[in-house]
Amino acid sequence: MANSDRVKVRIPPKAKKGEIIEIKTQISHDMETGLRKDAAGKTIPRHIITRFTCTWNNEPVISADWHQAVSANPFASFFAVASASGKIKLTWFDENGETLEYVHDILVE
Amino acid sequence: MDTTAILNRRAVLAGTAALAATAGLAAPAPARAQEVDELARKLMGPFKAKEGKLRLKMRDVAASGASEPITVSMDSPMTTADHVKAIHVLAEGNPYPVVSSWYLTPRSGRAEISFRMRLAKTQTVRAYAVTSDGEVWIARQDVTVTIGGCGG
Amino acid sequence: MSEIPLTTIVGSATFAVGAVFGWAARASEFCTMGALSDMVFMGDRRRMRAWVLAMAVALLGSQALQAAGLVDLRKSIYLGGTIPWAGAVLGGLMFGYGMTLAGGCGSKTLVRLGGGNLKSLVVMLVVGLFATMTLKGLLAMERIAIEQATGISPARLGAADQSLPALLAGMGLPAAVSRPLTVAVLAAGALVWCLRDAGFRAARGTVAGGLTIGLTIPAGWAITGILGADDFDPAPLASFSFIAPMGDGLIYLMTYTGSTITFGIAAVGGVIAGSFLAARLSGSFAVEGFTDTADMLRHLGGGALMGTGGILAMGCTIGQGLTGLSTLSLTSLLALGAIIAGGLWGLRSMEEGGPLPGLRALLHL
Repeated sequence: MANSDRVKVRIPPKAKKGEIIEIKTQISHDMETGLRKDAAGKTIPRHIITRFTCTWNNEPVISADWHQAVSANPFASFFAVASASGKIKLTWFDENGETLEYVHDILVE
Repeated sequence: MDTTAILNRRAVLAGTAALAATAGLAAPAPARAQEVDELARKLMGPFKAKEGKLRLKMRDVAASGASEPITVSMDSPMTTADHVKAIHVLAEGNPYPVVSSWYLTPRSGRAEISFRMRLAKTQTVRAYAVTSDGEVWIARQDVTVTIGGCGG
Repeated sequence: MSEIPLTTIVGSATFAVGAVFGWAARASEFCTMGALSDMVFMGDRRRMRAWVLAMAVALLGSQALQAAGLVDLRKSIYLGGTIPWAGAVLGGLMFGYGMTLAGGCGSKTLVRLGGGNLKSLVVMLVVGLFATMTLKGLLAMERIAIEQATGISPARLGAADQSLPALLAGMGLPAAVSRPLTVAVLAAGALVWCLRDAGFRAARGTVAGGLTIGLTIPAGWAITGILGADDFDPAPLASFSFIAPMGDGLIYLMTYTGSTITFGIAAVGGVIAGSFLAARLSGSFAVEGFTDTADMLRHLGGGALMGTGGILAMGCTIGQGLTGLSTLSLTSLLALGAIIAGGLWGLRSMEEGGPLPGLRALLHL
């Protein structure tokens, strides 16, 4: 899967082995709460991202369950220990079955 | 103290108590907080939370009820033997109080997460952290939410 | 590697430009109300020309940034959502009248405060109080009721947004032409009117003041829109405006340990600082207080009108008159017109002894 253009990410391109790096992410998504009504008065159905995961060379770093109080265009920032060069993979799972992914190549020296 | 003074004092105390009751301050822990306690137990199993080590950083007055930054952090060596394995954020005043749950691993390196949340109204936000040896820490922040508007 | 937070960079740059504004305003006696009263009472158009020059320079500079694709003024509050015309008119009138009672508009209050005037300190406190009260406090629901009852969407006027070029484009003028044409006509007209007067051209200090202040407006857009651009936490696009920021500034002083500086707050601080420096260096710094109770009442009332009016109108003489106008927003035109009308009414009322006689005199009844 190609990197989704709805995703913005800030991860350093390289790090020293054992260094703790900060990973900042933001994805474009309405995170519709299911509590809003449209102009006609009908309730707009809920549509949110419910799960987020980050792996480093396929080993889990962090995962999260999100609910409707997470803001639209959800921003998330967390940390990871630089273990080895390879791929950091970020995945967002939305409750309608759509999956968005972003892979970042990192060099660890 | 003469009779007039005693009566006046009683009147003031009674008045204050009545005022406090109408403001909800004299009432016991509101039903909402207990509901949230129940949701927290569903997430973590029965627990006894301690205060002190967990830090919840949010503004006292939210700039926006739609997207308010929040950071939850705790000092932890984040080793396999001793690390924070989960952080749960709950909002006592939101229609659905569980905001998000974050599952960390020793590969996280630091027990700190930041995101942005919706606040339905002025309320208390809670964060819980669960460590690998089963300890539960809690931190609370009262956040005031006003209506926004464009500047000038 | 320790990084200087972006908010600190934006705040410092803003403070510096704000200080330039304050200095220039003090040194050249730049004043919207002064410009109006000079024109109305003495037939002297010099300070009005300085104001119009500032407006033309602000317009040209801001539109140049837009045309170069460096900032998108549609992200500012002046071109957003619905056209709050009722607030603009009512608020503008209140603000204009209020500034005549309080001795000057938002920026003038800060400039006078920098020069030691305690009357303006009181005005600033009252403006800040009423501004935040109107924005999110006791008067907020009333403000929102007005907005919801009267707001018009630009789509109803056939425009993509509420800027003048968009309106003209909606009426049939080709979009590619409408913007440069509007800018050219307004700016050229303003510059010709200002600079054809030999007396004005000779008043180098006044001209320099107008020019400098005009340039601070695009500087503000550049600081927030270019310097403050960040993928995850961009500074809201803004330029100089002084009413809401006075309220924000007071809250910032009171909640410093949990607050972040914004463009508006840094601007207020900068203007006071710049004016203070200019006053000290020219020896004109003087602590001044109220002469009597009537004087104090006028300033209190004026401050309240400016605080509430300024929020309803979404800006003051600088906020709407220069910054808002530089985006060619329709609301800004309405607000500025109402502020001028309110100011003229206030000035006449001072002469005639009251708002009703003043109104009669203004309308030649």
